[in-house]
Amino acid sequence: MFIYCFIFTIEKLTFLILMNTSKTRNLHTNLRLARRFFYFLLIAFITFGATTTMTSCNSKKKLAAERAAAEKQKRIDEAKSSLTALLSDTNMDLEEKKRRLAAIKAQNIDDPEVRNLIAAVESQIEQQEERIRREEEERRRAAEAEKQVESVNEKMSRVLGEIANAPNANAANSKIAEMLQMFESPDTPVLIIIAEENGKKDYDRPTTIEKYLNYIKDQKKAMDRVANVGMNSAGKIKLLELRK
Amino acid sequence: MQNSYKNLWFVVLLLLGTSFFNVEAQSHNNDDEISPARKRAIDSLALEKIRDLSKYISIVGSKETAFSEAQRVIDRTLELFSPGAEMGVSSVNRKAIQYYPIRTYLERLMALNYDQVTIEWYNIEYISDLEKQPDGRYVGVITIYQRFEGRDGDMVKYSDVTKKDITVYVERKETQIAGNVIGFWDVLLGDVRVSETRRK
Repeated sequence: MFIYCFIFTIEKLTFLILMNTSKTRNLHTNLRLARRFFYFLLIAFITFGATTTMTSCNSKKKLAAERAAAEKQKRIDEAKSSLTALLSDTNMDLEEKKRRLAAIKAQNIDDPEVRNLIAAVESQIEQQEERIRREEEERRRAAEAEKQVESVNEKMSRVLGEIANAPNANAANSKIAEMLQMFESPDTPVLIIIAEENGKKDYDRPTTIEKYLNYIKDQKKAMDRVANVGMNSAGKIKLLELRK
Repeated sequence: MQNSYKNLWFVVLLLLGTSFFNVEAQSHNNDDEISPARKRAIDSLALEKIRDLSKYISIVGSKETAFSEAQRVIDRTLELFSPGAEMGVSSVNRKAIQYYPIRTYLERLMALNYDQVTIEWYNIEYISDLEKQPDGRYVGVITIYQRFEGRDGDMVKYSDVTKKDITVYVERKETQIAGNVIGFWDVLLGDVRVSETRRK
């Protein structure tokens, strides 16, 4: 409106100037010239305004795009940094690591390096989970083996005591026959640890369960403890390790 | 002149060769060194074998032992000895000491003409500690005192106390059990020599 008034004023001024300065002094001609000038100015202003507005819009869009790009790069950099930290921290709680990875994945960052890092962290998590599963399995087996050793130890201690203290050979032989039922065969190997140092075991000459039980009967002493037991699929002892 | 050079080279090579074998032998010995704790365990193991032998001899000698049991115990006793080992037998009634293969000794013991035989070993101890030999074996001597008593009815017909020296050989061996190589100490007894006999 202001521009229109401004142009209209200029038109009037042009008319007056023309009226005063023109050689023709023709009112109609001057008015037409003033009108033309008015239209010229109007078009010029509109063109200038449109161009200015368009340029301004383009600048804003460019700026916004630059900001978006910078923001995206910032997110990529942050994601890379976080993922690298996740990769290097092998002591972090696995659930916490998974939670942080999920948060990064939720950002849907489209960057090849970030994708590779995500894959690496996922692979690391899988490996850690596998290791934890293995450790749990080993613990379970160790606990089972310990339970088995305790069970065999308890029974063996009782029966070996009975063999050693049997009133006569027949009574001892009967206990030996009972005991042999627990074993795969009378030739089941028996290893007796006489010393152990830094995980290295020293054994007495290996014997068989039948000879060992007869030894207990002959010597009338049962002092060895069960150290390890190997069982077969039928639940029979296939290897017995004792400790003096 | 050429001959002297040849001789010199020969001496140098001989010296180098000797040094090499010395170093090799020393490093081998160092590899096989055992700690005092392990050595004590081996000493105890050897003493235990002597106590086992003592028990086996008393079982074989006892007239209460069934023949089949005695035969089984003889077989087990033989497992304690190195092949060809002998047992010295003495008597207060004669000066000569006779040596028998272990099986022969045990069978003679079974056949002794008494109603009751009591054999007891005591004061079992090392008189020569287990020492490592150049061949890697450990060899020692354990002495024991044996009290022997042969009765007919309630009457003691013969008795004596004999001091015996037993050579003990301990050797590191390996065997495979359930697919695993097991290292063990094999204790084998050698000759049992009589060193003194007196009346009980």
